[in-house]
Amino acid sequence: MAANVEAFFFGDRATQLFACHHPPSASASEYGAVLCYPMGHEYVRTHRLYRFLARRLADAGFHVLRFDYFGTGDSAGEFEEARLERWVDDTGAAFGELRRRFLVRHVYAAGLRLGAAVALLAGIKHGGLDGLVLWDPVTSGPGYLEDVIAHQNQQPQASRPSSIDRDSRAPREIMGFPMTEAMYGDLAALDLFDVTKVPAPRTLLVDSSDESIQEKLRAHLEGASGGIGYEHIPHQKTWTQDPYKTVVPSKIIDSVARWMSDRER
Amino acid sequence: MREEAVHFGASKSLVGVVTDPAEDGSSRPAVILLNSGIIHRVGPNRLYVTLARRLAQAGFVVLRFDLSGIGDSIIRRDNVPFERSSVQETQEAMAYLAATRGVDRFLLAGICTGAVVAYHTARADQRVVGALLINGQGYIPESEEDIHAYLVNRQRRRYYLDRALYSLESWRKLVTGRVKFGDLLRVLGVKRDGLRRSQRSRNPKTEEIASGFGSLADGRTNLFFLYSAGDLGIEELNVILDGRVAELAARETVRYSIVGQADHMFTTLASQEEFVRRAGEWLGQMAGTVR
Repeated sequence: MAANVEAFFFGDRATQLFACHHPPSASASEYGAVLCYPMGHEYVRTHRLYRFLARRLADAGFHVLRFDYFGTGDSAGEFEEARLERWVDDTGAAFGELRRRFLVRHVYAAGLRLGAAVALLAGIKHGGLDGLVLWDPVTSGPGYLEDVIAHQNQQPQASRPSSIDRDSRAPREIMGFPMTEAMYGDLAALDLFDVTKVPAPRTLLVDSSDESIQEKLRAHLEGASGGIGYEHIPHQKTWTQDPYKTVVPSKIIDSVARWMSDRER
Repeated sequence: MREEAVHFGASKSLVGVVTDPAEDGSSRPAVILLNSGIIHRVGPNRLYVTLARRLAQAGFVVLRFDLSGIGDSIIRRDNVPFERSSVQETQEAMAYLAATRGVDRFLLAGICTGAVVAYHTARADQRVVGALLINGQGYIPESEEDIHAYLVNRQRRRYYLDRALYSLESWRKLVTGRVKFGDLLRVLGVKRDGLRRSQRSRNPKTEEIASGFGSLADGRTNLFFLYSAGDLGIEELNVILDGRVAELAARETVRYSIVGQADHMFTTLASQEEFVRRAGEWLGQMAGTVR
């Protein structure tokens, strides 16, 4: 039977971050994982997937911490105040919280889409990661913005912002969430091909696209650090689907959990 | 304003966040926000967080939480059907706020199925003094398949008559043969949909729900039906009330309002702002008027 999660806020009250801790099924574990969410509508659509992943990792013996970045989910702040760098620092704070509160010594980070990019950047900036899982990472900020704007433009008229904003190259809102100039600039500057060193001794790249679109990043990261694990498991894009029609990608979740559990690999 | 993560319910398995106002909020009814379908308690487009914080600034205690099996609350193992467990868990949320915040009156609000849970809880519990029913869908059980097929046809008919008729792209599709004519004629009512209005209105389930709305309106519970223009829920309410929506909306305890240029989940920022404004205004009025 699944154990209850422990929900709590951490950090200073004015900027507190919401987190859920899934305790490991084993009574004591020194291993922990921080899960980093994607942003905006992709966060809402993949929240269930993260809960399943967290439970599976807890069953595999990890303390798991899911948390909301500043200005997102239940955390303090408004989305308009969000910046990519702040989310990277929030993730660093979550690494610290996992170590301090649950006495974890070995920290993994995992994320899907923009969450994968944030996990990678947090590992680079804050260090100390034992493992990293990059699941369908957003590799290029401009490409990502192009995709989500195109996705928005495919929505029925009542779901799209006014035509003035729609025609803009830098829209003020995307799929139900504000897009400030600052955040737009942060995303536009994101490029994982700038990464020159992978910040963990073990890294897994998960690619669910039919066309293996992450092969290029795999080659780049192997060139930078060597020894990148790669799993190609095609699955529909959960992050673009109506939450009511989403199929949880259990094969990918199982694969991630197996890889994280197999610590000798 | 301050926010606290809370666990409550029989096995403390229900997870929520209470937003407390800066001053003591116990003299007002507390607001409970109910899951919109399977979207977790932050609500579609984080709307419940926005609404909770605005309401707390206006002096309300607000709880947003996940029903079992949704968001961060684990699934129940006792096989109690959702129709009952959702009401029971909402009552547990009220009990939690009563015990920790000293509140004994409640305003429930929910989008889509959250509206349905609000309705059923209001019917079951006299502590509920008002229900904000937003784009309510699913009052009529899905097992009533013929009614649901009819509702979808009604919604498409409204789309064709209100929007597609005036859209250049729609006419382009029509003349280039990219429209299924049989479907179009059926939806527009030229072909019969096989279900007579008189048969629908005699359905005992719809009768029961209509009578439930009437009882709430006659009694102690204020109702605000808030819809996005073109939402399927508008048609469902119309079927439930057998076309007498205006009659119900005319009662002193009932308000009915439609937000233009909005979809089911209030995706655009402009529609979100309008939603929060109207919801906040009504809830604010409730604080001053409910017994």
